[in-house]
Amino acid sequence: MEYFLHILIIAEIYIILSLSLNLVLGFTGLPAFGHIAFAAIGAYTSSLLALNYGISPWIGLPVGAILAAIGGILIGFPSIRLKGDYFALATFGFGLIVYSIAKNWVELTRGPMGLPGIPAFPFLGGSLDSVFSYFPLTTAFALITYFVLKRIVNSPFGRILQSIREDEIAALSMGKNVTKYKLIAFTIGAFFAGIAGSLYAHYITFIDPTSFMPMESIAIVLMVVFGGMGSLEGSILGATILVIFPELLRFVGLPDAVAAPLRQMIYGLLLIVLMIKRPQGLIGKYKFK
Amino acid sequence: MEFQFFLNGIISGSIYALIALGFSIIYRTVKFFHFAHGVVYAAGAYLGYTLCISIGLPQIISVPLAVLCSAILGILIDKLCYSPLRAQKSPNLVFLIASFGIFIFLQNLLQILYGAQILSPRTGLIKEGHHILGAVITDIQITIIVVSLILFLGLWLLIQKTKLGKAIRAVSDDPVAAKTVGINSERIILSSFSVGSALAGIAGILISYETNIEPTMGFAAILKVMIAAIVGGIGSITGSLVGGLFLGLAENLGIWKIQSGWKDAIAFGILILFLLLRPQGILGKKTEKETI
Amino acid sequence: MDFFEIRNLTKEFDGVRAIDNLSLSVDKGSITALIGPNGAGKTTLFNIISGFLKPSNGEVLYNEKIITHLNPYKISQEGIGRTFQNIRLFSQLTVLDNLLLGLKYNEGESLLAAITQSKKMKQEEKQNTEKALELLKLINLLDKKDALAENLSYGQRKLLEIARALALDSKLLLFDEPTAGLFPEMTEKIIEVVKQLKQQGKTIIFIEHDMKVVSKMADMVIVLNYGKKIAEGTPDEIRQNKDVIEAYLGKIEEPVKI
Repeated sequence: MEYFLHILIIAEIYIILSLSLNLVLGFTGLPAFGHIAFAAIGAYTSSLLALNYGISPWIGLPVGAILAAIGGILIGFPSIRLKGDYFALATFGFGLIVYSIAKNWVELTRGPMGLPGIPAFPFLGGSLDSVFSYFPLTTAFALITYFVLKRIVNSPFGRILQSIREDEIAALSMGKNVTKYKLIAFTIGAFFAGIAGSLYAHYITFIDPTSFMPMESIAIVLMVVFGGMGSLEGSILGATILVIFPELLRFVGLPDAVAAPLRQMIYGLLLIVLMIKRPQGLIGKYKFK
Repeated sequence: MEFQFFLNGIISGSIYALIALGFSIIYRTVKFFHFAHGVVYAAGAYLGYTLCISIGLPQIISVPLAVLCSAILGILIDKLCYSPLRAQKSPNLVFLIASFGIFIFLQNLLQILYGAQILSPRTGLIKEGHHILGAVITDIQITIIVVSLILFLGLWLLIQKTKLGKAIRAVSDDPVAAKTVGINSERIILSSFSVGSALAGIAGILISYETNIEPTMGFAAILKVMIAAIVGGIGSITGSLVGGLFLGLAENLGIWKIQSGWKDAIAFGILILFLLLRPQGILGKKTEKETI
Repeated sequence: MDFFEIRNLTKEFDGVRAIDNLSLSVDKGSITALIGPNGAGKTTLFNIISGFLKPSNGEVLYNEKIITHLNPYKISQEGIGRTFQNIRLFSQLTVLDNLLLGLKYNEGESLLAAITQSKKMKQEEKQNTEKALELLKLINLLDKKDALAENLSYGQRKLLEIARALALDSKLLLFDEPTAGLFPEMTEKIIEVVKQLKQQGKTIIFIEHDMKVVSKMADMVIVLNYGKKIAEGTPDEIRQNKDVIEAYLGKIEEPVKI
C-alpha cells in the first residue's frame, strides 16, 4: 500500500510537470525542451529557504514558484523569437545551464553533494512526512493545477494561445501580440513546474543536481506528446502511464542495472514511434505543423 | 604552461571539428539537427573496442571495420526513422524529437551491452610524450591532429571537386531543383549519412585511445558539436573546422581562469548568444524569407 | 486627407527588386483592384503593407501616419485587415473560434479574466459569440459553426477567411485573390459581400486575376509589373491600355505584310 501511494505521489508530481509543459508545448506550440530547469529552481529555492533560514515550505513553495516564473521570463524572453528546432535547442541549452549552476555553484547548492535533510511541510502540530500524509498534498496541488489550466485553455486567452500554435502569422494579422502571449504562457508553465519541484524536494527530503538533468526535460516532453498535445486529460494519462509502467518492470525481476537503462530505451523507442506513427499521442488534438 | 593549454585546445578542437564536420554534412542534406550523431560517435568507440579487444582483431582491421559499422549505423538510423518522416513531410521539430528518441534508445542500449564502467582499448605501456615548446604531446594526440587535417582536406575536396559533392550541394541548396535535374535525393542523403557517421566513428575511435570510453560520452560530445557547428556556420565545412577549434580553444583557455565544471555552461552560453545574435554562425550567410 | 498612400517603396531580395520605387494612393471608401502578371510584386506589396516584410526603402502611410516599420499586430490594430493567398485559417480550431479570434475583446482576453472566469469575460464572450453567429449567417456557414476549419471545403474556407477579416472591423481591407479557385456562385457571393463592405464605408484593395471580377467590383485598377506601377485607371481604361496588354501577353509583333 505504501509503495503504491509512493508511486502515485511521484506520478502526481509528474502530472503537474506534464500539464504545465502541455500549456506551453501542446496549446501554444512552443517546443520547450528545458522544463525541468524550472522545477530545479523551485526545488532548490524552497529547500534552501527551509534549510538555511528555517522558512516554512508553505512559504517556500510559492516563493520557489515565483522565482521559477522569473526564470521563465529570463529564459523565455530571448528564446521566444527563435523558431521551432532553434527554440528547442536554446531552451535545452538553458536547461543545461541551470543544471550546471546547480552542479558547480557549490557555495549555494552544495553541488554534487546535494541538500539532505530537507524539512517536511508542517501541518497541525505535526508534519507531512509519510506517504499517507503527503498524498493528499500532491493530489490537491495536481487538482489545482489541472483546474487552473483548464480555465486558462477554455477562455479567450487560451484561444489566443492555440491560435498562435495553429498559425502565428494569422494570429498576428488578427492583432494579437504573439510575443507577449508566448512569454506569458512560458512563464505560467515555469511557475507550475516550480511548484512540482518544491513538492518533490519536501517529499524525498534530498535533492541533488542529478534530479534535474537536461534529459529529464525530454522525458516530460515524451509524457506530453504520448498523452496528447493540446489535451490536459492526455497529460494526466501520459504522465501516469509513463511513471507507473516502469515500476512494473521492477516486478519482472530485472536487476536495477538493466531495468533503468531499459526503461530509458523504451522511452526512446516510444518517442520515435510516436513521431512516425502517431504524433497526436493517445488523446491529443495537435500533431505538429 | 600556456602553450599546453593551447595545444590541448587544438587537440580537443580537432575532435569536435571532426564530429561537427559529419554533423554539418548531414545537416546540409536533411536540414535538421541530427542529435543522434552523438551516439554514433560513442558507438564507433565501443565498436572499435569490441573488435580490437573483445574479438582480438588487429587494429589494421578493427579500426576500418568499426568505421564501416558506424557508417552502416548512420544509414540504418536514416532508413528506419528519418526516411518515413520525410515521406510524411514532417516539420523539423519532429525530426529533432525523433533524433532525441534515437539517441536515448541507443545510448542506453550501449549501457546495457557494455555496462556503466569505463573501458579503454589501450594495451601495453603508456608511451612518453614528446616535448615541444614547453608542452607535452603524445603520439595519439599527434595522430588526432594529423588525421583530422587529412579528413578535412579530403572532405573539402569531395564536396568541392567531385560529382557526389556537387550533388550534395545541389540537394542542399534546392532539393526540388536537384530532383528535376535527375539527382536522387534519397541516395544523396544516404551518402551524407554514411560519410558523416563514418567521420563520427573515426572521431570516437581516435578519442578512445586518448581518453576513455563510457556510455554517456555521446551526450557531452553532441552538445559541444552542435555548438561548434552552429557557431562556425551550420552546413559549412570550414565552419565546422573553425567552430570546433574555436570551442576547443575557448574551453581549454577558459578553464585556465575558471573552474572546469563550468565548461558546459560556457559552451552553451556561447551557443545561445549566437542563436540570438548571429544564427548563421561565423561563416554563414543571412537569408530572408520572401513569401509568407 | 490622404487615406492610404505608398511613397517610393522599394524592396530588394538578394539584388532582385521585387518592388521598384512604387508610389500609389487609394481614396477612402473606394474599391481598388491590384493586378499584374505573376511575380509582379502584388503579394509582396501586401506583405509590406501589413508589416510582415520590411521594405528596403520608402514609406507606407495610413491616415497620414507612417506605419512602415510597425509590428504586424500593431498594423492590424490600427485598422488594416487582410486575407492570404494561401488561406491562413486556424485549422484545428472551430469555425466559431476562428471568428471569435477576429472580434474585439476589451478585458476578456486577459489571463486574469481566464483564471477568475470573470463576469466581464463571460459577458464579452456572449456578445462576441452573437456577433460571430451574425457573420456566419452572412456567409451561410451558421450550421458549420462547430466544425473544424480544416474540414471545410475550399470555397467555405475562403469565405471564412474573409469573414474573419470582417470580424476585425478594419477600415482598410486587403484581399489577396479572394475569388481564386471558386465556383461562380461563391464568386458572386464574395462580390456581394465586398460591395456591402463599401456601403459600410470600408476601403478595399484586392489582388485579382479575373478581369470579369475586376470589372464588377473595382472603382479603380492599379497595374503592376516587375515591381513598378505601369498603369492606373478605371477598369474600362485599363482593359484598353496597350502597356497592360503587353505586360500580360508580351510584345505584339506587327504581322509581316506580303
